[in-house]
Order: sequence, then C-alpha cells, then structure tokens
Amino acid sequence: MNLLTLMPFIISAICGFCLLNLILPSRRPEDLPWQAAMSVGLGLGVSAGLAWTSFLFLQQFHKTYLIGCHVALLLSLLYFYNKNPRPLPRFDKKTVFDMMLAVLVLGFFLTVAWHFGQFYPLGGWDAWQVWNIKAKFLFLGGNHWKNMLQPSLWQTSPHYPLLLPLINVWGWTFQETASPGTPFLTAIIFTGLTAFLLWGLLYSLGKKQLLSLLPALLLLTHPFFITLATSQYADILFSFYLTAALSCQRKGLAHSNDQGYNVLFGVFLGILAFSKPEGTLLALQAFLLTVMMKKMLPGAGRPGSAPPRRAQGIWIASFCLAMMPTVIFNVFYSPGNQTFINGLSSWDHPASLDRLKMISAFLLMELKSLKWRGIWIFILAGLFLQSKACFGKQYRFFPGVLLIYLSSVLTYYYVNTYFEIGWWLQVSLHRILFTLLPAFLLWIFWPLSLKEPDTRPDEPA
Amino acid sequence: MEHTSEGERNSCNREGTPKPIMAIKTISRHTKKRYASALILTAAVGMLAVNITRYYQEYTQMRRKRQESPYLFLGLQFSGLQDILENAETIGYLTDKDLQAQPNAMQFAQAQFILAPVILDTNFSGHKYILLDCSRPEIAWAMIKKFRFQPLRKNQFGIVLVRNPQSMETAF
Repeated sequence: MNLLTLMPFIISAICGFCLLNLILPSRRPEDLPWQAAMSVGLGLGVSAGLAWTSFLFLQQFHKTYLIGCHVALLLSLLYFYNKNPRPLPRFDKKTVFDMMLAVLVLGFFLTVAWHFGQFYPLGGWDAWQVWNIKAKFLFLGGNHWKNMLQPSLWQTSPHYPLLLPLINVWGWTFQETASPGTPFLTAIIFTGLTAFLLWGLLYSLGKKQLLSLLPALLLLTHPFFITLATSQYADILFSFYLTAALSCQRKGLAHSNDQGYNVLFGVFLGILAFSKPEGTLLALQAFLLTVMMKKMLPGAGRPGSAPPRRAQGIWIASFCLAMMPTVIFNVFYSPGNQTFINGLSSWDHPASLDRLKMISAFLLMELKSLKWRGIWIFILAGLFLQSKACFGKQYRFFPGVLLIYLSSVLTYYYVNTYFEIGWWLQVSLHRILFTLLPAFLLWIFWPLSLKEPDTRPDEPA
Repeated sequence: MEHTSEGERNSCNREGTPKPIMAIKTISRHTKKRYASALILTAAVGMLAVNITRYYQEYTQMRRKRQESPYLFLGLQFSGLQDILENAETIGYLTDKDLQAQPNAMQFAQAQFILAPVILDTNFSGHKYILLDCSRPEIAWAMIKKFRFQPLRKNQFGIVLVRNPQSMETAF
C-alpha cells in the first residue's frame, strides 16, 4: 500500500467534503463525523460517475481525462468554498474526547477487519467473477471494454451496474497495473464508512457516546458481517448508500427548512441505484414511496405537512441527475438479465407452491441461523419493544422502504425459476440480509439516541 | 369554617375515619420506554461481548489455517502470458479436462479473470491464439501435432500458448 494507491480516495474525499459543505450548511460540531463519512461516500460516487463519462464520451478509460476532470472539479469546488467560507465550529472538550475515542475504537476494529480480510486477498467468489473482472475489462480493455457485456459471459452477470468496478478503476488511475490491493482497499473503506456513519449519525442526535458506538461495534465485531464486507462485493456499497439515504431522509424531516437534505437524499438514492440491480429496485421503490407519501419528504414548512413544490422539485431533480449513469447503462449497454425465466408463464420451470414454502422457510432459518449470532432476533425484539417509536410518524419511511424491498426480493426469488431455489437461497439470501443490517440497526437505535424521546431534539434551534 | 378538599372528603367515611386508598400501580409511558431502552442496551452489550470472543476465535482459527495451507488461487496458473495477448480480444481454450466437473469449471472461471480483458472461448478453432490446458504435457504435445499448432510459450505451470495457423485471423 503506497500513496499512489491512496491518492484517488483522498482526492474523492476532498471533493466530497467540499461538495457536502456546499449542499449542507449545518455546522454543529457533533455533525462533523457523519458528514465526514458521507463526504467520502459522496466523493467516491461522483468519481465513479466521472469515470463513467470517460467510457461514454471517449469510448475507453482515459487516465488524463479522468484526472483532469477531478482537478477541474476540485478547483471549482474550492473556489465556491472560498467564496462562501464557513468557519469550523468550536468543539467543546467532551465532543473532542468522544470523537477521539470513537476514532480509536472503530479504527482498532477496522484494523482487525483489515487483517481478517487479508485471509482472502482476492475476495470471495463473486468478487472476482462478477465485480473485479469488470473492473479489469474497464481498466485494461481499451476500446474493447464492451466485450464484458457479451451475453456469453453470463456467469459474470453482465447486466449488473458498474459503480464498484468504476470506483476500482478510479482507484487504479495512478498505478500502472490493476493491483488486487485496490478492490480490497475499497471494501475496507466502505466497511469503515458504514460503521463511522452509524456512530456519527447517532452521536449527532443526543451525544450519547456508548449508545452511538454500540451499533457500529456490533457490525465491526461480527465475524460474518466482516467476512461479507471485506469480500469485495458491491453489497457493502449498497449498505452504505442505503444507510446514508435513509439518514438524510430522517434528518431532513427534523431540519425541515434545509433543502440540503433533500438533495443528498436524492443523490444517495441515485448512487445506490448504480451499485446493484437490487439497488436500482430499492431506489425506484423509495422514489415512488416518497412521491406518494409527500410528507416523508424533507423540506416542509412545518412538521407533518406536505413540502412545497420547490422542495419536491429539488429532490426529484437531484434524484434524476444521480440516476443518469444507471439509466444510461441500462438503456444503452446492459445486455439484459441472462439468468431469468418467468416461472409464472413458463411450462418447463413453473413457480410452484413448494418454491414459495421453501423461500418462507429459508428466510426464517436464515434469520435465526447461528452465523448471524442472534443479531436478527435482537433486531426483531428491538423493533417489538419500541414499536411505538419505530413505527411512528417520524420513522414511517424506514419500514415502508425496507419491507417493500424485502418483499419484492422474495417475490423475485419466487418468480425467477432459472436457478434451483435451494442453491440460490443458500448463496444469496444472507447477502440480501447483510445489505439491510446497518439500516435496521440505524432504525432501532435512532429513537434511543435522541435526547428527549417525546420531542424532536435534532430540530435545529 | 373548615375547608376540606374534594379528595379528603372522598377518602373519609361517615364516622370520619380515613378510608384506605386503593392504589393502582401503573407504569408510565416514559418508564416503559426506559425499560425497553435498558433491555435493548443490555442485550446489545451482551451480544458485543459474545461477538468479540467469537471474532477472536475465528481470527485465530483462520490464521492457523493460513499458516498450514496458504491462500491458493487456481487462476494464477494462467499468469505470465499476458504480454503476448496484449492486442487479442478473444482466444481459444482447449483442454482434455471435463469442464462440467466443479474444480475444472472453477479453474476455467479463474483463468478468465486472470486473463481479462481477453475472453476465453471453448470453441477454439477460429481463433489466432489458443491456450492449451492439459492434464499431462504429452497430451498437450499430441494436440499441437494433431492440429499443427505453433507453440509460442509454456509457463511454469504447464499451460501452453499456441498460434493457430488455420484461423482466419492468422490468414489475413
């Protein structure tokens, strides 16, 4: 690992930080950690988008073009930032101590995760067969990169969106070869960002240090979570962007006059859509849900009322802008899903009732499986114990999105009869649950982290 | 004039002796929330303790396993040929192994990853370059003779890269 490997991630982090500062004006000291985590995620999402433009406009990966784009973006962001400088907030001793403690504790467990992940330096099976192979095609393939979309390579799932491969390509920009260290670094960075985002968000609500650290630590010390997170799959990106989008939505409800949350909510949903086909599904569902339940959209003049048209317009515009890479990929490049048989209309592979029974039984088995070490039982019990808070008005979006998404995925398992269902559930259901885990933990711990349970303390003064 | 409150009047009977008050113990909503929070936090701390213990055990176990048998990526057998294949898009793949068998299928998939962005095609005959992945060197030489291939390189793992003079790409 050298500076050249880290350089793209540092540039993205700075770009993201400047961009987030322009979007979100909040400068409370306790907001800094979660905004920092979001900045890196936002910056990497933007970098992947810029890398995608290299393939769209120049038909291949072009190092100079990509670096030039980043320099131009950075300079323009720094210009705008300097034009309207915001002084750093004053930190009290407690906040500084809490932040340092959290960085040390989370940093320690992230280092352990790093060593744990090194046992499989090339990642899991899908990492190189689906994600890293695409990154190699993009980085080394010149103008033949489209060969990776050939239907004959159906094992590599050519219809999967390209967020992770493009982040890895950007990570290789300052190197000569496609070193395996970069995809691993990407996985570790997103694992850390997810944990850091969880801690930072919850800490910003009520400054309860132990309570805010708990969910992040539950993730970073969970052997199965760490195994999947460092496996170099796109699932950890999905987890991070979903958690970020949900937190912006919920935060925005409290900060009702701040349109920045609207923008970020839309942008994170758009980036999420580019991570996996499941991400696209969830982003579209969240979009439709927000359009139908207008009160869920931040930006209302007073709590509980529908937001004005301007707020809706801003949100829809940012969502559409961030969705552009996904739309372009799906319309012009994706060869379509090569592994789909509609079981409802197929005579050879019909979707039977047994299949449905198996899916339901497998889901229950998975939730109580030993590999999860009881975390899903804890989550379900937590939701039951604080059902009033968790299913209350302020949190309605969480169950709405998460449960609709989970039901859609289970329906897809039922309808698509291309794969033998037992094998398919065995290799993929745990990953679906993995992607939702941070969001569920956020949902449970959010009401607990508030200063006064019956008021809205995260409302700005 | 003696003033008594409504409550006091109700709590006294006709003889003026105090009536025992039936106190109903109710738990307020706030207290319920506190109990729920305490329960969740205790469970979370307990899980954290178990997680850390288990994590340590798994880490030590994996470390021991890796010391005994290092990480092996079957596709690495196909490295060392990329410089010849720099401009190739698709090459043929010829083997005497059964690609339906799982270990061989895994090896083929890993070879595809190592050689990317070059695509391996099992329908080998039309390609300029062909990769021979045979279970024994004699079989590879027999194939070279049979199809009149021109050997280009053999790597340390016995994988042979050949040129196919019969292909359309070679002819033009």
